[in-house]
Amino acid sequence: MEDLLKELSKAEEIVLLAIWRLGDNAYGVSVRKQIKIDTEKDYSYGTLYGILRQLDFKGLVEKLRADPTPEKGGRGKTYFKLTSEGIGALKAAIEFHRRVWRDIEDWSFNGG
Amino acid sequence: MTQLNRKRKSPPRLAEWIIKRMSWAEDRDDILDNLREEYKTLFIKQGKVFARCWYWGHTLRSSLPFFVSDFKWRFIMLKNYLKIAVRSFKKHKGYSLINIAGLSIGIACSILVMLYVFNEISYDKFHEKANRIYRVAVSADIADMDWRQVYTPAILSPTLVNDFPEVENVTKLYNMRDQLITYKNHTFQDNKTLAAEPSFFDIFTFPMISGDPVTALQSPNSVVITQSIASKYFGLEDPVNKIIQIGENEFKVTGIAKDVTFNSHFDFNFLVALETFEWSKSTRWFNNSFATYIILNEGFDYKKLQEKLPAFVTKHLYDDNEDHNRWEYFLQPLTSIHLNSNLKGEFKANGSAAYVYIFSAIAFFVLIIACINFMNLTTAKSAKRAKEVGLRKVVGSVKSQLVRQFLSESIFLSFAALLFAILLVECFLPYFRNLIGEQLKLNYFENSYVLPGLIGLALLVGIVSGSYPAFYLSSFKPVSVLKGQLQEGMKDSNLRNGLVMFQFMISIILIISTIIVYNQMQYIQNKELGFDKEHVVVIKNTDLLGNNTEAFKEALTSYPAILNVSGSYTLPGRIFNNWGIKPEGLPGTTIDFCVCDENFLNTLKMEMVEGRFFSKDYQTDAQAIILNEETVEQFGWDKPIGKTFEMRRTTLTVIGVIKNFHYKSLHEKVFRMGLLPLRGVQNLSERYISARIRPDNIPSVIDKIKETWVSFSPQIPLDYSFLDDDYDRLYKHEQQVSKITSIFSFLAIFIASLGLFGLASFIAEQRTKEIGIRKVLGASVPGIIQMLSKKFLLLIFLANIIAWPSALFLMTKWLNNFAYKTSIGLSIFLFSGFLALFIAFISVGYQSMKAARANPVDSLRYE
Repeated sequence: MEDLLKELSKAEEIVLLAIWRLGDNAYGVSVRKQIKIDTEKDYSYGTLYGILRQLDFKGLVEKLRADPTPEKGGRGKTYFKLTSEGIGALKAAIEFHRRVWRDIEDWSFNGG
Repeated sequence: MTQLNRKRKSPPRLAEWIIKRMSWAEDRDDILDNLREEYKTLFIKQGKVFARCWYWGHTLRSSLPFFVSDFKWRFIMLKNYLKIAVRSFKKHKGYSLINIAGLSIGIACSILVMLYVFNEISYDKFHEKANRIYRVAVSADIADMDWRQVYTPAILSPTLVNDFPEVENVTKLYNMRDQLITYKNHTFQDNKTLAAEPSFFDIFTFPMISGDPVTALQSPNSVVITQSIASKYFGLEDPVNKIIQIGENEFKVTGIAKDVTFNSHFDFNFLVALETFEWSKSTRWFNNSFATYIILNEGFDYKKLQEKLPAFVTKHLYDDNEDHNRWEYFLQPLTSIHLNSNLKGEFKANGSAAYVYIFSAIAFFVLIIACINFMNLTTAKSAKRAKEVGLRKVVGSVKSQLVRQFLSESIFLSFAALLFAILLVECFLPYFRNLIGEQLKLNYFENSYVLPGLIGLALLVGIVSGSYPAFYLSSFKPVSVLKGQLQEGMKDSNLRNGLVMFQFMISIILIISTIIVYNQMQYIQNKELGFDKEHVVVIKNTDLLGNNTEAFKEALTSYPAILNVSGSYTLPGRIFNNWGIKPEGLPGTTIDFCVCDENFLNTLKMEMVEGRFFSKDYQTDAQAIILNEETVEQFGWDKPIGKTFEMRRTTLTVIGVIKNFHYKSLHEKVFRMGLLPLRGVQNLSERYISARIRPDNIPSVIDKIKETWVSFSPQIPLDYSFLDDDYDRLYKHEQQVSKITSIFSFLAIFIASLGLFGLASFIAEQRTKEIGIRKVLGASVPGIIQMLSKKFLLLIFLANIIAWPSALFLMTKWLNNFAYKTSIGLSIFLFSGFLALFIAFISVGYQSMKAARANPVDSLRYE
């Protein structure tokens, strides 16, 4: 499963970053909100959990069950946390980005 | 604030239900929880309506992603498993290839044999009314012999229709065999001419391309030809209404029928109207020349009709049946004829149900061996992977994931084997066709069972062979695996050893059978037949020379390369007519007989025991007969010369006794046989002229014969063959069996050795450490080889013990088909046993040697 790590897709990158930003408080609702803040996009639950599933399969993210609270009735919230591979993936992503965007100074892309 | 509020604050139920249905199990609850939380927040902040709209909006928005996600997910999973499988394949290329090779061969064999089997089963099923059609055949007791034949009298069919209302229709067929066909001065020979009635097309389904099936055969002197005949001899001309000559009569073409497919028990190129011939209207009950077919009413049980037949026989035949021998008619379902009939007078050689079973069994066993191998190797290989497993488990893979991984690997290999097998089949199909002598086509898409069947097979093999190691392995305790302590079970599984033994047992049985079959074929080829079949040219249809046969024979003898020439009505290896006779002082019985000229004895190099052969010097020879030893023995005549016979209302005198010769195949014992002179009382024509030739420069002799023939009969092409070829054709079936068993036994042993080879290597690897230690302690290389191989060789030895009696039993049964058979010697068994042992030794030995030679330092470091 190790070599399934190709470049992260944009959406995966966004989700991973959001989870990282949230630290210990990354769960469904908060992640969605964070993404809204980061990208101004409103990810539907379908999309979000689809990406999360993929990330989980690739081993970049793990799911942690919190202790059940009386409110939820039975099951605890599922929190998402980056694994070491997940962090590694983010590092690789930024490296990749840096490589591809190296030396680009003209960010308005005038001329050329 | 509790119950009531909670209910009011819950999201729309319908929407929740939709989400539930669309999402996947794992995250379902989590998603719903999160949605509910947001809903609650919105409810409080923005009110019920807003919240509900929002919820619905999300439900709809998520539906597509759920759907798409699901597909992507499955796809990724599949890709993943495939990747893993391919990776593992690459890592163990050698073993994987062995595995695939073995399995492909097994699958390919089964496919080919199944093809053959379906072929044979499919005979005669293409007729629309096939399940209502029956052939009426004869079973009789003639001179204490059980006599079953196709031939029935002309009057049988109309009488059946008359007497039995359940018989919807009847038709009879007459086999006209070889005929000379002439059209516009172009003469050619054809051996597929039948004579039929108009009801033929009623009962059988032979589509016509032009002409009316109802009327085509109504008028005398009409003929229906097949499509390929039409294009071959008429080219672009329309054959309909043209006149052709068949034999001595002229016929008008009244229709063209589609070619007869191979899976019909009779075949024709020309179908002439039976109406043409006066003799077809004979009312005699014992003029048996026709094949009679009936079609019964829907749903009528043919056995019921069969019960009424003995009374039918009594009613109509009793007066004609002078000797009141047992004479019965019985019904054969049309579709059963090809595999089960084998009566005298079949149109085409029948297949044999027995051989269908045998070949199916052989293929089944080869497949089993290949599958067992596959399982064996996969299991043993997973022992090697135990380390990997151990590691994975420590890291935390879920058991089900491991199982899935192993399963996907073995299924992948299994499908790879299937593909390769199909490739093999396509490659070898032409050779197989030659071997079987039939047309075989593998249509992957036509028959709706083929493709799913193959896929199902591959899946089954993959799953079964993958599940054993998968479950077994994933239940290991990781720690003990990492420590290198494998459970004892893995090293030396009784099951696995049993499987190896089973494989070799089957292989040994096949080897023994092959040898015995081969021996029997050799025996047949070389047995003293009582006549010399080598270097004899047989010229056919010589009765067409009419009165010139004598002159033709003389012309041939004038060539020095032609040593001896003789004319006869039939020849050894062909059908000998069988007629009733009344020997002097003995009850009536029958003999096979042949009509021949005075050179017959010398041309075929036969021997007389007593008396003399026919000779031109004796006028009285016209009423002479020569008997074979068997006849004289059976009659108990000490002095046969001079005894008389009644045959077809003439008296014949015995002038000599000829040494028994095998005029029939060695399947049957030599029967009572007599030779009659050509221009004697039994006026049968000289259909064959046999010429014994010098073995050198055969083509030039043939040319000379051709020249001579042309000078006597320019219009008619020369048709000749060699006597030894003709005689050998009696054993076509056995030759097939011989070839097939040898091929299959080679394959079986090959597969078994492959399996053994792979297995041995894994076991050797297993015990690397043990071997290393032993070497350090001073064991020698040969010693180690012996230690490793001992177990396997013992298995082979055991396999022999079981194989020998089984093979003996089977082969004795098979040999009983022959009246004259070779003996089964102990040496055959010993040889087969040693062969198997030798091959096993090579397979195991190589691996053992490699292991034994390994440097102990490396093996001990193997951690």
